[in-house]
Amino acid sequence: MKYGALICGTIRVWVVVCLSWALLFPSCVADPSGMGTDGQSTVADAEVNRIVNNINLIAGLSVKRGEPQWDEHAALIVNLGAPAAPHLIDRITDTSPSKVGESFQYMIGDVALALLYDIYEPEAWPFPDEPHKIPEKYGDFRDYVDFINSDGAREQLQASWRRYINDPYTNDPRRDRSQVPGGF
Amino acid sequence: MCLVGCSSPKRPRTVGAGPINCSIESCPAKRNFVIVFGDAGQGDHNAGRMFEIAARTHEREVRSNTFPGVPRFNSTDGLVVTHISDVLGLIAQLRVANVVYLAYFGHSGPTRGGPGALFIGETAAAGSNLTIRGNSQGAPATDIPATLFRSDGQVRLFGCRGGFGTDPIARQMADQLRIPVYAYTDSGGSLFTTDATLGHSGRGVTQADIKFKFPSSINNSTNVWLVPINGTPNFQRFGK
Repeated sequence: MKYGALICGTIRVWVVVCLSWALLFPSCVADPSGMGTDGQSTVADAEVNRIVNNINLIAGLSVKRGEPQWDEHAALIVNLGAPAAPHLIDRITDTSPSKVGESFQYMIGDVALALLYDIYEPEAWPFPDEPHKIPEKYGDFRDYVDFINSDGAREQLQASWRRYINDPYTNDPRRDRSQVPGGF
Repeated sequence: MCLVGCSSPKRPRTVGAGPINCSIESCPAKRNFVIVFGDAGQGDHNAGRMFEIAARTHEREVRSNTFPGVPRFNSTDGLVVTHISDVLGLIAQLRVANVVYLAYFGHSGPTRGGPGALFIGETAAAGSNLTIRGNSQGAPATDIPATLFRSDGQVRLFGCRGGFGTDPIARQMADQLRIPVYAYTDSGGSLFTTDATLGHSGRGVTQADIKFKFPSSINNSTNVWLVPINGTPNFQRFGK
């Protein structure tokens, strides 16, 4: 009984401390969108850029859509949320090799694209903002490889993603994803 | 029950957690080989029909006893190759019982901060992953009745990182089934190859393998192997 009361008392103290911390410093509380209560990023842009620059350290990607990234560098970037997007979009055209190999050799731009999908979860792929379909010859990842290695493909994707994140509809958390045209 | 030509009486099968020990229990003469392939995956992880084509290749090698380390296939044995999308589908295939060999072709790997998994299904449906993680998508390996296997059986996982990480899915399955589970311990994702030497772990992956372009005409009769994309394929044994 004595130990039980001691444990309960300790828990009560921690609950009070945690609640007080959350009330005093709301922007420090975990926020999956990466945005504070005022809509601003909780992490300075320079820090966001520094974390995104570790994209070349990512050793592997989660192979199932919706699965949290298991690689710590990938998880850190995805956890930044929307503030990471402009930096990732900048990297879509980066054709230097990454450490990631999942059926094919991922370039940095391919990893950036995968992380953007994790953050926004658009229905359409690989263009998030339109029902544009890449040519389907194989019906698997090889179609993406062929497409992404074609002239101007990365620039097209980059433009599509810039339109997508700047669309107020994209950033409305109440949006109905089923209304987004296209799909896997 | 032993009727003819038995040197020692065998006990009838009783309910228990382990696989059937056919040296002391009665087992049907027909052993079962089960080869399953999971969903293709989505987006850049869409393997299309490659898992099935690799599974069909494996079927031919199992039937001809040309894949190293797999239990010997006899003409009296049964063999099924089929697609599954969740753990219930896997268990349904194993219900043939007296299973001496299970091979899985599909997505797999570690999960964030947790144990490894077979990502059998490509959707977020309940039971679409085999893992001990404990969310609605994951069904634990303990859901697979070990009694459906023979004690001289084995499991072989053809997928990314099935034996990689701190608590790989190969370990979870070996602990539950109490038979050897073989899986790749390489850290990289998977690669499909038409080279048998590479497919049998006879050499390491080269840049030429990674850049190799499959013709669009490949089909179920094309020989394709699934190996890790980095280094020499390393099938490690987990369990007894």
